[in-house]
Amino acid sequence: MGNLRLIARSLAHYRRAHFGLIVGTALAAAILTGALAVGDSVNHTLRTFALQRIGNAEYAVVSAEKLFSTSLGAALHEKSAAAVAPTLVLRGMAIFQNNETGSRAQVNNVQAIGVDAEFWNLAGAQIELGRREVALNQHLANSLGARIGDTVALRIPKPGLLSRDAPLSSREEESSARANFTVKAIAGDDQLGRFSLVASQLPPSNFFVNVADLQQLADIGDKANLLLIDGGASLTQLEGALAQSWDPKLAGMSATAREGGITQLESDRIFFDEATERAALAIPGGQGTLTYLVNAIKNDAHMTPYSFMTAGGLLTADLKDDEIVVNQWLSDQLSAREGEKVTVSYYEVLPSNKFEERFRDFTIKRVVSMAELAQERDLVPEFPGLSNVESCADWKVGMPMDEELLEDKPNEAYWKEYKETPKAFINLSIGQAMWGNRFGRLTAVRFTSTQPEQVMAALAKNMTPRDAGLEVRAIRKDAIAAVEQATNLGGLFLGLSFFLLISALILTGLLYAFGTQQRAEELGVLSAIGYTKGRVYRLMLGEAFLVALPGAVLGAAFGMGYAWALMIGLAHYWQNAVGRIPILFATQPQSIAIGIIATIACALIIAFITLRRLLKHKVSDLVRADFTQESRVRASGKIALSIAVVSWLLAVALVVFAFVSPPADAAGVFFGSGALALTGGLLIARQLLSRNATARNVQRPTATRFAMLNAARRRGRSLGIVSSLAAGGFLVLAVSSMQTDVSANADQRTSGTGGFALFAESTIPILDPAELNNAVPGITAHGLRVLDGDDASCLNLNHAIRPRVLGLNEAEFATLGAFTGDTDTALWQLLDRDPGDGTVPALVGDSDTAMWTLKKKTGVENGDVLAYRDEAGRDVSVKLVGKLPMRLSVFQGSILMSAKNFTRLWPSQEGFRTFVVDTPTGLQTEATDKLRKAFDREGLEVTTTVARLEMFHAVEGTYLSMFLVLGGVGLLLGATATGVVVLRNIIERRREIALLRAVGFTPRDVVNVLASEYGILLTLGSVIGAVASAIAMLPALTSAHGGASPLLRLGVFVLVLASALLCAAVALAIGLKKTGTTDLRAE
Amino acid sequence: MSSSIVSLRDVTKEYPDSPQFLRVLSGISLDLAKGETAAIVGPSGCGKSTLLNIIGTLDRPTSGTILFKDRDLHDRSEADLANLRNADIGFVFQLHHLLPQCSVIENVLVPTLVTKNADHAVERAQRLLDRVGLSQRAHQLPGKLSGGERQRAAVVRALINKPSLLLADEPTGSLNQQGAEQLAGLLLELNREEEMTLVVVTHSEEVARMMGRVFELREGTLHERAPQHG
Repeated sequence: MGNLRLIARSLAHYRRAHFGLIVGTALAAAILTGALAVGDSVNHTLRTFALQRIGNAEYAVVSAEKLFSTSLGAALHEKSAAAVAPTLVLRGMAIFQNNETGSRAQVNNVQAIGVDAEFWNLAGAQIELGRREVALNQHLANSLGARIGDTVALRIPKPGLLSRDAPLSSREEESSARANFTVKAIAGDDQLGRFSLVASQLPPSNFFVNVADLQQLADIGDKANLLLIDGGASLTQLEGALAQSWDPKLAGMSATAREGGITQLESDRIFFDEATERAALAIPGGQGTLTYLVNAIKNDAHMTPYSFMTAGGLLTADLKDDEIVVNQWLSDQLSAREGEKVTVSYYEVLPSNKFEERFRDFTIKRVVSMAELAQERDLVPEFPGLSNVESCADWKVGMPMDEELLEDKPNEAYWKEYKETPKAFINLSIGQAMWGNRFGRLTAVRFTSTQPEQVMAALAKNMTPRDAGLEVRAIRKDAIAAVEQATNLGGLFLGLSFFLLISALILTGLLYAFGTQQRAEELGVLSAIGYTKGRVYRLMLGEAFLVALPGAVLGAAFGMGYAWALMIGLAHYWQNAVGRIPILFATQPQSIAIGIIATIACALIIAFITLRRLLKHKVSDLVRADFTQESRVRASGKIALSIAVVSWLLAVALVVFAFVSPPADAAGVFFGSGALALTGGLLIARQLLSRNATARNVQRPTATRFAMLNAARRRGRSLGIVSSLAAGGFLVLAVSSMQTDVSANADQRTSGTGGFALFAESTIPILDPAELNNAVPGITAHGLRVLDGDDASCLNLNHAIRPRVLGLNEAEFATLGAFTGDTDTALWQLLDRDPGDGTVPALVGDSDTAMWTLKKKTGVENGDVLAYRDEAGRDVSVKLVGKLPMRLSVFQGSILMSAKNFTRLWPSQEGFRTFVVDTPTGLQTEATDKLRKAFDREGLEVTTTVARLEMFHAVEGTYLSMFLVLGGVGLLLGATATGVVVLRNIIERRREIALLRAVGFTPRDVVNVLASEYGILLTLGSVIGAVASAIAMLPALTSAHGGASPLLRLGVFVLVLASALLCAAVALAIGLKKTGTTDLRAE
Repeated sequence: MSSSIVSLRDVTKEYPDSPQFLRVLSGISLDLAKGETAAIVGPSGCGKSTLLNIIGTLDRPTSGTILFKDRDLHDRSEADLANLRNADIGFVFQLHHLLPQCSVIENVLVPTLVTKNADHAVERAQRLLDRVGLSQRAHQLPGKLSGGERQRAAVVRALINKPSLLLADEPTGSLNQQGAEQLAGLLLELNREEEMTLVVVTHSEEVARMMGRVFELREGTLHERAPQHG
């Protein structure tokens, strides 16, 4: 008889025992495969959404806040043959006044998307939009409650060519524009309704209109900021085509012939950015100039306010740094002659958008006649809000101005006669040092012997599209990468099913171990007749494989049922776990294969371990197959008892400490305390069993003593029952309660709120946070600049490649001790420190963002680097030098940078869109309402910082609830394992039970003995588990902001205990049925 | 009133559910008086243990009557029979069936757990253990004892409640000859000292010959051998 035949015989003979094994294996496989299938489904859904949000577009030419002519799209199409859709995407607000119901709905942070027919070609479905017609996506339509035929309004910030942050920009100008549109269609997900370049599973609010309508509303002429391109060309071809199509005119550069044969190169953004300056000055003969409006030019006796000055130009060729050329009018006004001193005062705009007045003294080198300056007047760039006004009083400029001085009569007369003719000239380098700013250091470049066409041609040669902030991005590849690097949801659901899986494996292990122990005699005989250990292993593992295989295959099929159950839970109860998206079911064959193979591997490992333990016995012992004799342990419990006492003392000390001085991570402290109590409890249980096993007693044993003796007999198994209930219950209940109370210490600067009461975000930037303070007296708002990017918070399941960047005044936060406390402000100072390796320092918004969503290291020395591109098209390495110390802060999902660096890298990101606000005690609600009303047009959304933390925390709460429920189911399975152990014990002890019957125990007496025995164990387990869990759950129990409800936790605990009791009772009943007096025979 | 401790009248035992209809005992009648000693012998599988179990109320006959101290045990509940066993019947088996988790004295005292009045059980246990030479082993676990010692402990356990009837099923089966004779001798001594009736099922002719009466079970019927004198 060969091995196979022997295995076949064994399979047939032990079929009942094997059936249990098949069930256990199937359970494990079902849980494993099901969890992986849910992960697959979520990944499939994310991938579907990711592809839906870009439609048939493969690439995009994106521009960093700079607009370009839509003709670039046509040029690119010509050069590459790819289909190109010029698109204008602006942030805005949608408002729907429902006349039928009288209700008004406003949705902020809407994507206003100006499109043409080519865009819909990329969508694969045409939606023909006439003028003033809009296609809303389903999400926005639902949010507004608007239907086809309704009229909805769109408000957008007017982009403006010159940032409103820039000096000399017109801040008085209307910053937003509004228009009504008729809803023509609702764009479905298959019609690019989800269009977005941001990697997120959440649907955006899209407001599709005709591109011409949006351009008109924004008052930007024929401009766009995005080109969507299909797969008609490769990335390299597109980059080549873009370089060929590129023309500086498209980016607003123009060269014009001026008086005196001068060609002047100007930007419609007034200031030349760094790349343009470099390219322009590289053209032979180019001379840069910088014209600025100064506050005053004065000497000891006289002063003239608000004057244009120019740095550079023909008049300044021989000037030293401290010398100035003034015009005759100024000389007369100040009664100042050559060689005399004058002082120039001017404003410098700070990163906070505050103006600081500065002064500089000059010596008059020369006085030039007004006639000589006719040419200079012509060369002053046109400043919106300054030029072309009748009177100085009509100037609409952002910087603070003295109304009286604006009406200065001589100055007014000068304006009427000479307009913006500069009153003085200084050296260019000094002018740039004084007035250069993040928007540029030149306002024009002059050429004396080069024609405008030649200048533009040379500029085109010297500039690349990248210099203008244009970049071809492989958006499909990015979208897929964001999904593929997304949170490992298969692993997550496997983690959440951990207890269930472990319970199934324990059950399988127990069934296998007991089944194998039954066959110890057979193993002994095989060994006795000459089978080597290896051969015995092969034989038994071969048999185990043949049992595990059908179990695993069957389980994989049942796994789809488990996946289905999980998906129902995700759809109805745990939506936060998957970003509140509907999950589309899909599973990968490899997940099923992994489920089957992993389960079989686990089953074989369990079989191997069991066999190894059994085969360690002597062959003679195996043949006798009597392993029930466990010698009593020696009373070595002093150490264990000491550890137990120390554990309990530490647990109490931790609880006291946590109450006296609440730590930041109170949940962690209480969990640790509970774990110590559990350890102590289990050690005491162990000692209790050991002491009973070793105690000498000359008294007649009582029923309790007898039950304890019996419980102590198989101490390992008994402790297993106690531990599984106590530790299992503790882990499930305590872990599920590990939700930090985000409202605790929320008023402390060291908390995740930073001590701020409110958190606000606007759709349209607010130029000065002080505007909020003015709107609501008593509050103090701190503004943060925003570079839109991927949401790296726990709300986004996609991998954040370029997280959102917030620019803040680190000194302000350090002074407040916000997020760090007064004593540890060094963290904020890191933002102002140059790492010295060419990187820009940044902090991660909180430790969870660093660890879980970005998965990046932080540190001054070894912090990871994120790749960004600045507005000038340069690659920027942002080094994560640190992180806010708490797990969760209001800045979750973002990285923080100093405003100084932020404005240097992205100067066009105007104003502030995020605010943290201190309010007087008790005025939160009032301040919230007032702020909302005051900044309704900016789309300011205000929430309490605690509510914001709770929004993020809800995700964790959902995971914890899932863990609680799935863990609870796992514990129910564990209760079955308890039943198996009880049954096995009774079967092993059937002779003992028969003897009890023989010596006069009635059936009820026997049941009482056994019930007391297992009752003691279950009571021990539940008491230890309950006490340890209660300690760990203290913060959750005493908080109104906990995760799963205490009732649910109590319900799970009671259910688990009841199941353990029921399983033990059923096992007792089955076991006792199998015992009889025949068990007393020797055979 | 007779002086019988146990009387069997026309007792049969059948196993109708077995593959072949099996009648193990067929019309067995037997009277055992107080203080008597008896051996039941017969080939393996002839039904000796079944008969002993029926006598000891561990099993019920298919038909026939069992009188224990003149009380008919027919229709008695399991609980009544358990109480009867606890108070009046002691068992010794081929395997000692000592509880491995309990010390020797604890094992001896196990039957007293369900005894209503067991005031002097501990003293009696100590005295009996002393009597069988196990007083020094009282607090040891069965695992530490030799085979003979374990059986003696089992005998003490059987006697702890002063039974009227001691039933021993192959008590010497797992002992060597010397041990077997010593145990049989002990049982007889205790039979006299405790004034109980002793029934031993055995394969050993030597042990059987030590008993007052010898019954042979053949093909379901019981035949008493004539007493041997000399």
